[in-house]
Amino acid sequence: MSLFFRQWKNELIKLFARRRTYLGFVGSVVAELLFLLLWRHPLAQRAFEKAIRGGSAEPNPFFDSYFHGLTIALLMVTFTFLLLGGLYLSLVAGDIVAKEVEDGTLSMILSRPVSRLRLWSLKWSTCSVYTFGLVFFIGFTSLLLASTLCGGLGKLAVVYGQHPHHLQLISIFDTAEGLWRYIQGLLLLGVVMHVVSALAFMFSCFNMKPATAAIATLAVFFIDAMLKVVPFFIFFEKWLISYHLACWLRSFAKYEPAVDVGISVCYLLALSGIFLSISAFQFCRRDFKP
Amino acid sequence: MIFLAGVSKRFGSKWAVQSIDLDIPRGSILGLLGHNGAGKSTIIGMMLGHVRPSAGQISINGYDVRRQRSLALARVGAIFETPAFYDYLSGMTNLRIFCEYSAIPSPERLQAAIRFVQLEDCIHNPVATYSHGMRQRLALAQALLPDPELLILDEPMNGLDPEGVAEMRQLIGKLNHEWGLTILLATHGLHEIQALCTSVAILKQGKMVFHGVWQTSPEKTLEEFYLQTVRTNPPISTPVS
Repeated sequence: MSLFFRQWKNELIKLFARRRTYLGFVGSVVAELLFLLLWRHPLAQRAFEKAIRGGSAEPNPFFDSYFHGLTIALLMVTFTFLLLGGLYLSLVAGDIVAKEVEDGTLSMILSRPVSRLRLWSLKWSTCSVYTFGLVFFIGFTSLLLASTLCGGLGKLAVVYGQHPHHLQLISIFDTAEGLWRYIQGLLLLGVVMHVVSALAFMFSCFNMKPATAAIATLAVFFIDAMLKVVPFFIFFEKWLISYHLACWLRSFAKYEPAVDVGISVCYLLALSGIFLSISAFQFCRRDFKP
Repeated sequence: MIFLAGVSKRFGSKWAVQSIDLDIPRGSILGLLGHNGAGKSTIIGMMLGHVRPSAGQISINGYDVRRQRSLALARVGAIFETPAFYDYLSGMTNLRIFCEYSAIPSPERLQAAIRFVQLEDCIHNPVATYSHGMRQRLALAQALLPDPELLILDEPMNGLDPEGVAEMRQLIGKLNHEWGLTILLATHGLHEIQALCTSVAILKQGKMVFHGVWQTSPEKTLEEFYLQTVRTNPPISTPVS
């Protein structure tokens, strides 16, 4: 077992010693700063306040009390993941096998008496570390930037809606509970985002270039997101990945039945399981020409 | 040491390799000759378990490569035409990473391998700064780390300057004579075959046209022997002793 962890450590060294791995981290900080910059515009804040009022013309007297770090950090995480999360997870997970095949290093590894299944599990474990790493990095930097620049942590107000024009306030937490919910939310986001990594990883195990694996993954999620905004396909919504991915935000709702979030998590885990089974089967049986 | 019986490989509708029988005795150096696309790399890929044969059986040290891969490859080292490394990591980190896929190497063994290929001075530098010759030597060091009995070399002299070729030739000879390693050398270089190999297998369009000890004379060089064999001989499927 210690050899497995040593090999896993080596996989992580290989991943984190590459400059391109950090593109995701740098890009997310840039996106967070962009969000903060845009957020300073009064129109953006007014739109948010309107969403919190839920259509009421009366100004919300508590608006200022939760217009701080935690609330803005949660919005920043949502914005950053919507903008870049899928892209970077696809790039890294799409790279992890296909790039080694392209470079020829996988042939060198496979000349060793290491089983393909072990190698597959090492690669996937590394993807998983990156997925959680990126989620928590974005969560932490968003909170740090938002609480530093927006007057402390404050209360957590959660706004949610499957469509941008139907946002509503679903919960308000005080600072301590809000912080705890924020960490739990990140953990759940880390779990559900594995579906993106698993799909890119699956493509990576097929005979294709790393960029193709990333593009194929992004294409799937783009089509999924497009189907969600077409009103005629609303009946189809609960089959879409993007609908279930939003369960991490729904989990903040005080009165959201846990079973609904549970169904979404199970759906995404089942999909990830299917992608991973296909990738394992493909990785173990395909030919790697030297 | 290596035994191939009726090995074939088909990619789509095209046969890359057909009915290859080969027996490489322990302590020998077999040269694998053939034009580009003759199937040399496919045979090596099948020996190492990278490529699944469509038919036939391959065993190394008595272990079936498909069913007992870990045992079969336990004491095998391999070098490819263009050795691939993680260029952004040092030579030492690369050696550790590759070696630890099978076992954790002792520091003494690591040092001995590095000394053997004479890379002591630059082993902590990133591989991106290495010349082609240095990369080949690093590849040789990683192939030697599992304490191999069998070394599989796929075009190890490609891209080397004359000095590098001479150096590599000397290292291969030393590994066979002094360390007693069995070596399979796939190459285009007839000079290497002549200088190093005890026997030769010649491939033509995925089929074997000669396997055995070549006959040369002052009037007939190895080059002439090779060309004549490739041009005139029909493919054979059983070894010629």
